[in-house]
Amino acid sequence: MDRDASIEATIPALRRFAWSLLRDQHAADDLVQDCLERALGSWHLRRPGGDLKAWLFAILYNAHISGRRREARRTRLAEEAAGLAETATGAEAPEGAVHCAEVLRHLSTLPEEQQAVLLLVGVEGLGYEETARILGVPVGTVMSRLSRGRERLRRLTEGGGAPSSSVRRLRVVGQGTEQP
Amino acid sequence: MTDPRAHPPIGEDDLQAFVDERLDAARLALVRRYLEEHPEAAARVRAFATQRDALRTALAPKASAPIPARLRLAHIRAGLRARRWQRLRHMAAALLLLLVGGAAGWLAHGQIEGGAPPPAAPPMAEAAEAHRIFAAETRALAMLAATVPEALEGWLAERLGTPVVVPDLLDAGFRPLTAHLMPSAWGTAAMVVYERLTDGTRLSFYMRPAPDTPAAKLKCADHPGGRLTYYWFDGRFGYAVTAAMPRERLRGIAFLAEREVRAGPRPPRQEGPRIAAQQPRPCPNNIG
Repeated sequence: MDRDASIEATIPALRRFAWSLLRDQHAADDLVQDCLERALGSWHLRRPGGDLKAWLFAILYNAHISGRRREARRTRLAEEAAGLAETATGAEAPEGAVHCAEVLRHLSTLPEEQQAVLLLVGVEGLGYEETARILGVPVGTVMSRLSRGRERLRRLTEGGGAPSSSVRRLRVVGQGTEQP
Repeated sequence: MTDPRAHPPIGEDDLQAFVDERLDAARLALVRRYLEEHPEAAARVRAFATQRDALRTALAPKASAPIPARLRLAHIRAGLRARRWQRLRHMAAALLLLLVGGAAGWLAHGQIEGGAPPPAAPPMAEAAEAHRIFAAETRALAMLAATVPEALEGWLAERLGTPVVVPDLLDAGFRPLTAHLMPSAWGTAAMVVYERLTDGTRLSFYMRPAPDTPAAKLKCADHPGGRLTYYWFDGRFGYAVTAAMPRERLRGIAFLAEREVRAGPRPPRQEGPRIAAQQPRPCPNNIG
């Protein structure tokens, strides 16, 4: 049985999603580990024929919102965000690089449920129904979070990162070195 | 312009689905036309797509980074096993306490007669009794199914204060399900309940100290309720294999168990190939 192989094939995406939510590699890997433990422990409860990837993401997200790691996340967020620009600007074309670093920073200022939708749909390529199942909300909610999240992100980007009254912002965001 | 009579008007969800390429062909054509006619919407959609691509690019390194060892499933599984084991110890300790109370009464009458079991009882009757009590209620302790015989042996050996062999009966189709410790008139006894993989038939392997009984080959004893016990002694312990199954079949398994016990504790590596054969791993290297 290739159960291990199919779980392990999803680990990179789980780590990416976890990091995107937590912005801290250590905390992210803790979360992924927690997710894998729960997955192995409740493998027999899995719906046969269900989508493994969506199932794993759901476990990870549930573990995340159970909130045990929130504290660690908040305290580390500031340091991590400072190093973020370098990570993201790596091998990209100059214009794209600026945009990548920026969009990541802006993403972290969005409400977490909007971030999760943008990441699951946009980055992880999951369908709307799958995303709804993972987050435990109706599809309509996924669609409205997607729309609101993208719109906010667009305003932030096009507004050169200028604070908008409707957007919750963290202090670190204003410290970026790139041109808006 | 779209025809509102034939199609629902283009809405925000359509624009999002356009970005995510999740529109069916018919709707896609309509949305395309709509975007041609609404430059501002088209600009928004373009911005969304750019934004999504930027996110993907920025996060790509996170998914291609090497996976740390602690997230390897083998590692996670080992951690789970260790924790499960710890839990089992707690449960076993609690179970033992319960058993001490329950079994004390049952054993008392034997001891009143002078240390030996009542002569009227069939030999190794306690094995059959233990089977009756425990084989039926092992569901709650099914967590042991995932543990390896070596771990079971380690646990039992620690409790009994002597090396213990948990017979490997997989060739006969049985795998260990739970392990129990219980008091006996001769000292702590141990029982491992096995389950047949194909139909869930239970079988138990029982052992208790028997320093005063000379070594003796396999014998059979019938017990009420169709239970059959094959038992033998090796000068140190008395062993018994009990199940409700045809005599010849059980005898074969008892021979297997007896041989396993006689061979002594298995070398630690014997487990490797079997696990590898049962669940192929993505990276089959047994070299290390």
